[in-house]
Amino acid sequence: MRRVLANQELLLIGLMALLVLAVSLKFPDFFGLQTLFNVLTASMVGILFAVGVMLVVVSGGIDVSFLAVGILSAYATVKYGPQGDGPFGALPVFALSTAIGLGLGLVNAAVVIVARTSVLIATLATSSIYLGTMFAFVGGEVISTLPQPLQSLGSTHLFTAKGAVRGTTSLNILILVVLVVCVLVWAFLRFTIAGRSVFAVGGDAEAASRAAISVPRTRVLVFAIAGAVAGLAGIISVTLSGRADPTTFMGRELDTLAAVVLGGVAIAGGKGTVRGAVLGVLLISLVTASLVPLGIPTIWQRAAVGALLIAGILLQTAIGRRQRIRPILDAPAPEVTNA
Amino acid sequence: MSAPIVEAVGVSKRFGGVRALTEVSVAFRPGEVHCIAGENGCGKSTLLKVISGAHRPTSGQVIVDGTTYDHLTPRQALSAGIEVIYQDFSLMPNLTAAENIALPRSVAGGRRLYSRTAARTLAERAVVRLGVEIELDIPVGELTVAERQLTAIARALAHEAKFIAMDEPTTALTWKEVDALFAAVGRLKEAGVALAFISHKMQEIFSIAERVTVLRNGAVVTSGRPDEFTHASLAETMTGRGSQSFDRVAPRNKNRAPALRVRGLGREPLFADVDLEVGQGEIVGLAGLLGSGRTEIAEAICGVRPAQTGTVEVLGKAINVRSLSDGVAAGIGYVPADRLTQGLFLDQPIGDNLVATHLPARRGFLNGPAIERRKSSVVRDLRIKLGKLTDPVRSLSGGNAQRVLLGKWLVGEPKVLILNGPTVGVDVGSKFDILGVLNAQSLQGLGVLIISDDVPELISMCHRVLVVRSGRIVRELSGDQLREDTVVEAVTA
Amino acid sequence: MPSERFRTLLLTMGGRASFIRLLVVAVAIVVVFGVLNPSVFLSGQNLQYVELASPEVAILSLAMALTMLTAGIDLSVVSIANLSGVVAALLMTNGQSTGLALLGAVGTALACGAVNGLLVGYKHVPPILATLATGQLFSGLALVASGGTVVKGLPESFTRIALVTVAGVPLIFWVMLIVAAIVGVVVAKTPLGFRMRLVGANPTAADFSGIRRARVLLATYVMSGALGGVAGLIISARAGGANSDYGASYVLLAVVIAVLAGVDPEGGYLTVAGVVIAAIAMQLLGAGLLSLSVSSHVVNICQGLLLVTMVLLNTWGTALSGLFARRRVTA
Repeated sequence: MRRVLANQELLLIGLMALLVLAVSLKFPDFFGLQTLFNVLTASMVGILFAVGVMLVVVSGGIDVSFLAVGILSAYATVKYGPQGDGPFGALPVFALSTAIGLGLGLVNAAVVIVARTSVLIATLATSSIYLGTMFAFVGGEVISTLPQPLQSLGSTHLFTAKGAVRGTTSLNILILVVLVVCVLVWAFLRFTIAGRSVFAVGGDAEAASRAAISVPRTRVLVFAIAGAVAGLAGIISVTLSGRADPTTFMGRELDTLAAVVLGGVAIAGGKGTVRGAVLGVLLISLVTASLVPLGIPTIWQRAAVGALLIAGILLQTAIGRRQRIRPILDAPAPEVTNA
Repeated sequence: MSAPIVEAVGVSKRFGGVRALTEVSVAFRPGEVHCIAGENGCGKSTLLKVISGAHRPTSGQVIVDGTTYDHLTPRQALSAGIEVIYQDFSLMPNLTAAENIALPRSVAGGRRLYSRTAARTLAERAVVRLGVEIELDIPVGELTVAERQLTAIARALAHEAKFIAMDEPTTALTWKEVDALFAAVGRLKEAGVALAFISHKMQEIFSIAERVTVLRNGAVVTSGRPDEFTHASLAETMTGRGSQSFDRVAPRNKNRAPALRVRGLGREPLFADVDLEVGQGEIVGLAGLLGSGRTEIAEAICGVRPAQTGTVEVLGKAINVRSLSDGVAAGIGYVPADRLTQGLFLDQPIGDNLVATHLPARRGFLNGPAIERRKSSVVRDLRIKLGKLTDPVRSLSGGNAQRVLLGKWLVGEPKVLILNGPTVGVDVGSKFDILGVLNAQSLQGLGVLIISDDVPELISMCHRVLVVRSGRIVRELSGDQLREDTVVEAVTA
Repeated sequence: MPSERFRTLLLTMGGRASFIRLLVVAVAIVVVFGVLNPSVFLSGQNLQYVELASPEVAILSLAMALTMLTAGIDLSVVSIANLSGVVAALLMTNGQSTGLALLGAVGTALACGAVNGLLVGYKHVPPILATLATGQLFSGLALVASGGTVVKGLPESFTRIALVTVAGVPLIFWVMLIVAAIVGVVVAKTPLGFRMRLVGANPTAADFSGIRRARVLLATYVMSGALGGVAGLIISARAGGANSDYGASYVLLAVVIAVLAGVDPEGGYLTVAGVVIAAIAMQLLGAGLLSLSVSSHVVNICQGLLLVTMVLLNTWGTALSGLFARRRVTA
């Protein structure tokens, strides 16, 4: 299966290359820093959400509360949190939002474990509780004056280059945070026993518990990390957009899930990579960025992503259904595959 | 005698209302292979799961190295050097074989970091120690059943275990692989490891056991050295009955068209050139080891996985089976091997299970009265013991559940009934009732094809036994040739 | 005996303990808000609001519940509703008759359902994936068709559907009851419904019982799509326009209602009466909370809490009642 998964990731990269090529043929300017920066900037928040969701999906469940967690953490932090000052003033703000996200993740874990229900249903419930709490008790109005450190962070760029046509194009410094989180989650999944346990639980929870893995503890860990990452994603989104709008993500859950699925994460659990999730988000951002130069109204974006998703899923299922059959007949038949 | 490494003392286990184990006490000593024998469903596997911490006993204790536990956790068990090879392997299908082999110890040992190379080295060593070959770097879910079984065995051997329990470890293996396993068992024995070996295969029990404990209905019946038993006495202790047989009347009427005639059935690379015939009122056995192609042949005849070549006739009429519903329409019934996952809708009402295949309808709507009539007539005919027809099948005992499965097919009055392991996991009394029902149905003209590796059962039931090996029918035994030794020999040759 | 007859009636509507719990919750909502603020909650206006708001939600939930019966899920149902609504609205604003527009909407919905059914039944795509993807596609198409705005200017002959009352009850409420009755008959009284339940309970055993699973699943998703279409028409009649983004939160609400009704997402059990009651109960809860003039967002919280409570009860309910019974014996 690893070959297949790698194939899916290669496929995504190939598809992205094809898109860039197609658009660049028409507009040579498209192939440049501006597009890269635009796609990366558009993907930053999505990547974080996707990585968190990927973790939960790998452990065997579909989380739909991550956007509620993200925006509640960020909005509450901006409204009540430290205003912060000095060069590292943003640090406590980011830490608080991440911590709130972590706490909400723990609530998710508690509901899943105690009610012994599916993650989908548990997070459906918690997400409407989180959103309701935000609007009812924290507030519903857009906060357009952010704490000073967030404002300056929002305009601190890692790179600034001349725009393809005019003006300048830049990449925010927060891309480093996104990168660090991706590397950390990747390392967690690959190099720690707890990370491998996430895969084990997602593959077969019963077998995992017989192999001495504590299934509840693994779940708690997964939801805590996913919650913290969502909280971080929320505050980054607020910082980048320069305002805290509680309705930012309303009803966008399926978009992130779509990206994760495109990235080859198995929705039934047990399989998935950080790389895949990131590629899925990047592909969708690139599709969006390519539509206009290709002469397709942006209004087609969603339909295009949907069609892409169906194609990807059909491919994945077609490959997944090929099974090795152990030959029974004496005639030596070297490794036969059969659809 | 040396002190036991692992000991179960008065262990009882209930699942809801069902008693799986009653006051079982058994001790496993270093350097000894201790066989736990018994029929399917006697509680062997449950006992192992209590010892490994997968199940919590209702009462009783497990003593490991002198420490008494009311209930072990899997982690405690692993840390104490207890390894279990489960019947279902209990592997994580999405992880590689190497990781499956290495991970449990790292978890139980409280390690934090995982190293792919270390896992790989450990797994390689275990596989070499076992003397077999497994692809270590692809997910276990893509391995064949035999490779998965070997992975599970390698996992138990990978660590310095003090006690290794094996739950029917040989079912999917070839003779060569079984020899390798037995050689490994011999080495472990010399190293002072205590071994529990669960099996219901006589040859295996007598060839490697130092001690045999027989379980029946969840309780210990007897325990002793293998030389205190003969094949026959051990079998009798396991089943609790002497050998019993049916009157094989119903001489087949050569003039009538056979209920089922199969010619030249084949499907690459599973089976080829299958010719067989089941007369009306005849019971034919299809004997073969797991992986011999017996299930594949049966599934091809009834349409689950159609054949590529060959013809199938029912009552002399050629039929084209592309799917199971074609088979049903043509009068072929198929009772699958795995009752729980393939045969029954466990949480659905008993009555609805009975009519699932043959559903009376009128003008697009369910025919309620006809459905109720069918349900009650099957319950009456098969003497199914139940509370209400609306109770879920889950509430039934193994024997009654199997009768429901049988009834589901008999309700459509098929011409041919193909049964895959019809008495697996069924208690002795019900087993004979079920075989009795089949016998009675065959007297009324039903052609029956039974697939089984339970040789005594085949011999007591069948007019003829066909032997499958490597995807081909290699022998037909009938009359005087139909003896336990000849069938076993033909099957395993 | 009347109590016996009542018991039988209850059993045909939903035999599980979860159904009784739902009834208790529904009654409790009416009683609590009836006592707390009788003048508003029990007013005709409030009742009418509930009657008008329930049908679309109930019909979408029925669609969701049907797919859950087969152990599936239809995340695309709201997208289908919106696409059908947009198609109907475009037909009408381009001068076609209302009847043709209704046909066009239902045809669109059936086609969408068939796409889902083909993916799930014949291509063996997990339902959650298939409908996640088609949902994106359908709502994307609706977005394109509508041009990203609300298609307005619907003829009065259409918008009147949402205003007409029959015997003092809004027409769309009657539509909901009729749709529910049809679904109930299909599920309980036809071979298709019987087979849907078995496919949901154990797909492998269904295959081994000679049930053509792919066909059953296709029929299920076509039905679910059709219900989505009907809901879409009701939504646009009520709103006086159609748009691709209407009721994005309805997907989750439909799942919540189905689960509240006791429908098993793992398949094999459906109570149509339960779904309708749960949908109305959710609207009553909303209306009740609003009648106490709390923030409309407290409604969200309460819906979430209610779902958690019901799931907890479904998991631990039997254990709790066992505890209770034992205590009574010792007392």
